[in-house]
Amino acid sequence: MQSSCQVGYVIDAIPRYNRIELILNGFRSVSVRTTYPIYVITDDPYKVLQIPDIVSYKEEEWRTLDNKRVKLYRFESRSIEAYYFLRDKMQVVNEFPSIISQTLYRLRALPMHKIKVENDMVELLEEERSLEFPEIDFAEIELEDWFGKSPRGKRYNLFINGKLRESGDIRDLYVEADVVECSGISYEKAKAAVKILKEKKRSPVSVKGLIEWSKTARVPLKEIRYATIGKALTTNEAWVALKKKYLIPKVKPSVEQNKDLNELMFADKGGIILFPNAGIHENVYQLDFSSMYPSIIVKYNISAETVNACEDIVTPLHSICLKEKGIVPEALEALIERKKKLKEIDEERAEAIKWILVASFGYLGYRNSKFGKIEAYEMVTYFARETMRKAMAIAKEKGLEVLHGIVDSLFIKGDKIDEFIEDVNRATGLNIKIESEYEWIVFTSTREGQPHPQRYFGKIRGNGMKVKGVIKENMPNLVKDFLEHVFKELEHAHNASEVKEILNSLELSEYKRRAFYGKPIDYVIWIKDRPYIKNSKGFYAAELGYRDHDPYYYLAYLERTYEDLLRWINGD
Amino acid sequence: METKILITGFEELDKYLAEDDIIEFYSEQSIALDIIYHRVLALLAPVNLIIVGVRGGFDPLIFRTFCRIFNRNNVNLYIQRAFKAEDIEPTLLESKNSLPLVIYNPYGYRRLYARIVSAIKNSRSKVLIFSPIDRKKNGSTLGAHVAHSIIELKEAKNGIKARIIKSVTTGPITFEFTKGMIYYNLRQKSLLDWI
Repeated sequence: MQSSCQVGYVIDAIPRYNRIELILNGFRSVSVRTTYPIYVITDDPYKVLQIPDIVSYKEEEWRTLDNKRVKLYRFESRSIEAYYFLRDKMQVVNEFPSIISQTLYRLRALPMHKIKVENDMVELLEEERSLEFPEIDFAEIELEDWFGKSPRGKRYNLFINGKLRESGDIRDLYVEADVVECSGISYEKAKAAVKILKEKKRSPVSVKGLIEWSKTARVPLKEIRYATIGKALTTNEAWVALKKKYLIPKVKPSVEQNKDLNELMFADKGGIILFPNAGIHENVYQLDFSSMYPSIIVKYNISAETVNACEDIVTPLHSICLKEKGIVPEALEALIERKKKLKEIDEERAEAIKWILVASFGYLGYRNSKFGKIEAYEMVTYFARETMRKAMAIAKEKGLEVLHGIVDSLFIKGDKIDEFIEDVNRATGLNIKIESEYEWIVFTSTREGQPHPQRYFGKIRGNGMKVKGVIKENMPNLVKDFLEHVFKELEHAHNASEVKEILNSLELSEYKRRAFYGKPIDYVIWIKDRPYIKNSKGFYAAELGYRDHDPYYYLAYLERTYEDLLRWINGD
Repeated sequence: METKILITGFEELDKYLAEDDIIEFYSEQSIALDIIYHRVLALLAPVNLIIVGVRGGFDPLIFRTFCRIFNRNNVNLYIQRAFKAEDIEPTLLESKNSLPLVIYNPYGYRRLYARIVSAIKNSRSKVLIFSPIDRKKNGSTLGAHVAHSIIELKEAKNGIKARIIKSVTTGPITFEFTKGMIYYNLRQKSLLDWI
C-alpha cells in the first residue's frame, strides 16, 4: 500500500491515465495526478477536442527559428495515448524534450532530483540542476573472458557506486540497485528500476555520467540511456527554446545561403592544425584554450537564429545578431559553468558534461540538428582559426617558438609564458591556460617522413608521462605491453640525451621471447571492438579460443615499433 | 546563323539536348559521372549548383582543371548544399534566377520524390541533373517522366560512353568519347576531315 508521503529521488516515470507514476529510489513508486501537454498546429481545434481524453486547450503564440510568428494550440490530455494518436494525424510540435519530461517539469518532479510527494503535490527538495549527486544505488557489471572484456564472458566484476564489490562466476551473479549497467547475459541477472545494456549504448559516458546527463537535461534516464551525445545536447537546448517560446519542429528544413566557389572554399574549413617539427624538443609548454569552441559560441552568440539575423557583428563570412541571446549559447553557457564547478567535485561527472560540450560545435553543422545551421558552424571554425592566428602572432611578437598547434592547443618553447597567456587572454577574450609543461616531448612522423600532428609523447615536469596516439587500440597486446614498459622507463629521463640513452640501451629479448612463447593474451589484437589473433593463415576470432599464432608477425611488429621509437628520437 | 549551344561540349550529343529544359545524366560508375559532371560545370558556368548529400558531390580541383582546359579561368559557380532530404525542395524553390541549375544527386535520399520532382519541374531555368542512381532499376519512381532527356554514362575502354535513354527528338543512340576528347577537347574526326 502506498504511504501518503514519500521522499526520494526520481529514477523513472510511467504515464498512467490521468496520473503519472514516479519510480523513486529503493524500488518505491508514487503516483501523481496530472494531464499531458500536446502542442498542435491546426485551424480546427474543435476536431482535436472530440478526442475523449482531451480536457482543455489554449491558444498560444510561438515563433520559429526564422522569427516568424506561429499560432498553435496547447491541448491538455488525460492520457499519453491521445498524443500518440494525434502525432500521426496532425502537425504536432514541441515533442522534444519528450511529453513525459515536460509533464515532469511542470510537476517539478525532475529526474534524479530529490522530491517529496504528499497528497498529489510534489515538492522539489533541492535546487533545479543542483550539483549534488543523487543518493541512489548504481551498479556496473563487467564480463570477462580469457582475452579481456567481453559480453560473452563467464566471469564478472561487479561495481557498486563506482567501487569494485565482488568478482566471480556469472552463474552466481545477482544484483539489485536503482540503476544497473549490464553486459551480455548479466542483463537477466540484475533487478533495477532502469537497466542499461552496455552493447546498446551509443555514448562514451559511464553509468554515473548518464545519471549526470539525466539530471542536467531533466529527462528520465530511460530516455537518455541509449541516446547519442547529440540528443543530450539537443535536450538541453530544447529547454531553453521552450522557455523562449521557440517552436521545436519534428524536422527543420534548412536552406543554405548561396555562396560562390571562392566563398565556399573560404568558409568550408575546420580548425588550424600545424605540422610539428618531428623529433625531440626540450622545455616545451602545451597551452590549451579551455572549452574553446563552446566558449566561442557563447562569446559571439552563435546560434541558428542569430547568424545572419542582423549585423551587430560583421565578418567576411556572415553577420551575427546580438540583440537576443541565442538558444545554443544560453544552453552551453550553463553547461560550461556546470563543468567548471563539477571539475572540483567529481571528475567523472565533469567528463560527462565535457562530452556534450565537445559535441556542441560539430552538432551545429549536423543536418538533423534542431538548433543548428551550417552558417553557424562556419562562424565557429572561422573564429577558432582567427583566435589561433592571433595567439600565434602574439607568440611571434614575444619571441616564442610555436612548435605545434592542434585546433585549440599550442606547443610553445621559450620564456615569458605568463606574459604570453595574459596577452592572449586579453586579445582573444578567451581563456588560455598551461595544460602541461614538458621537460621533453617527442613529435612523431611516418616512415615516409611526414609528421603526425596528433601523435606525441613527453615527460611532464614532476608528473609522469603523457602519451597521445602512440599506443593504438589495434596493436597486439604484446606491443602495447612493450610500449607501456618503454614509457615507464622514459619517466626517468629528464632531457633529450637521457631519452636517447634509455631507448638505445633498451633490452628487447624478453618481448622477443614472448613473441614465440608468451601467453595467448599477448597475441590478441582488438579491431573494431572484437578480439583477433594472427596465425600463418590469417586473422581468426579470439572468441573461438586460442589455437596458434604466427610468432614472426608479432616479432616483426615489435621490431618495427622499436625502430619507429629510435627513428623519432634520433631524427633519421 | 545557327547558335552553338554548349552543354557537354560534345557537339554530336549537345545537338540533341539543346532544346530540352530538364536533362538528366546518370551513371552508377562514379568516374564516368564525375568527369562529365565537372566538365559540364566548367562549360556552363556561371551556374547555380545544388549538391545533395553530406559529403562529396564536387571537387574544386577537377572543376578548375576543366576550366583551364576550356580556357574559362574566371568563371564561377553559385553553390548551395542540401544536407538532408527535407532541405532539397526549399533549396530548389529558392534558386529562382535565370542561370542554369545543376543538381547533383537529387534522389540520393530516396525519399520525398514527389516534392523534389515538383520543385525541379517548377524551376524557371534549364536544369541538369547528375544522378548516381540507375534509371533502369529505379525508372518511374524517381520522376523519369519529368526529364526531357536521360543519358546513361558508362566507362569505356578508352573514355566514356553516353547513351541516350530518353529523348524528345531521337531514339536511343550511343556515343563514345575518348580521353583525348574529354581531357584535351579534341574533336572526333568526321569523314570530311579525311577528304
